Amino acid sequence: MSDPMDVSFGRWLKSGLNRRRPPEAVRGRVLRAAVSRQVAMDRHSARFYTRWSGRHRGVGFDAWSFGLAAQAAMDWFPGEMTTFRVAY
Amino acid sequence: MVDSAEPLRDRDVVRKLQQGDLEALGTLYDRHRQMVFRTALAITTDDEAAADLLQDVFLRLHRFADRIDPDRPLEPWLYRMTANLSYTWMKRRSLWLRALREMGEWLARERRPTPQHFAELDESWQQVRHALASLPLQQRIVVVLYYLNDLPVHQIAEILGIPAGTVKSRLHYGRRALKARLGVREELLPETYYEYT
Repeated sequence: MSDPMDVSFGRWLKSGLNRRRPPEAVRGRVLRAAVSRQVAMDRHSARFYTRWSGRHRGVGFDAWSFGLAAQAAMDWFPGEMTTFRVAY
Repeated sequence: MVDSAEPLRDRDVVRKLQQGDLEALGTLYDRHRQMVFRTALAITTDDEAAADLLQDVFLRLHRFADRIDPDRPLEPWLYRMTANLSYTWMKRRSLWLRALREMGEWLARERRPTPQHFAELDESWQQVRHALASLPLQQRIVVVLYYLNDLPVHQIAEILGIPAGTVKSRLHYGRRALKARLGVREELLPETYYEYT
């Protein structure tokens, strides 16, 4: 199968591509896209909404949502509410 | 004694990726980006497309990590994905190419080359690019995997899902076309030292 020119062809092709390098920005794009996809996957999985699941995945009930829930609870039960607990 | 500084093997990194560790994706990207990028570039002969395909290959690696067997080498999977995505990109492009060719030629006439353009012009790459672009797509993929990536025929057959005889045939015609294109005499091929990693 080999050809007398094989070594030369290989060398020629590699030398032509030797100076071609991917843009540095691609790495960041890949990782950012992967992160956003992972978060989206977690939020769309049933497991995300089970108790304590967020603790292990690092994607928990975020502070902003917690603040909204706390505010709503205080608005709905202003007098009676001494403690509240947000569902996991 | 285990050397803690020893880099993890691909299979261990793939396992970490399967557990959702995104640093593992970065590690695999750093290890294989050149190979994926240059393979895609050699097939498409287009820098921007190769960068997009590089991104796409690694996003698919992340997406389909669960389906990858960590105990098998990762490279064939990457080659297969790169070749398939490059093939799809080329096919899609060919649909538009005819309509755009005339416009491109018109724009090329209007464009004034800048000093930067000349600085970026890499003569050896231009030579390779034109020669590769002259090959039919199926021959080009085989030629790239064989000459650029040094893969044996049986592995190319496995990656592309075609019989080894078909690989040999495409390689034969691709080689012949390249020789004709380059007007090959052995002494004309550059004795260039390269550091291909």
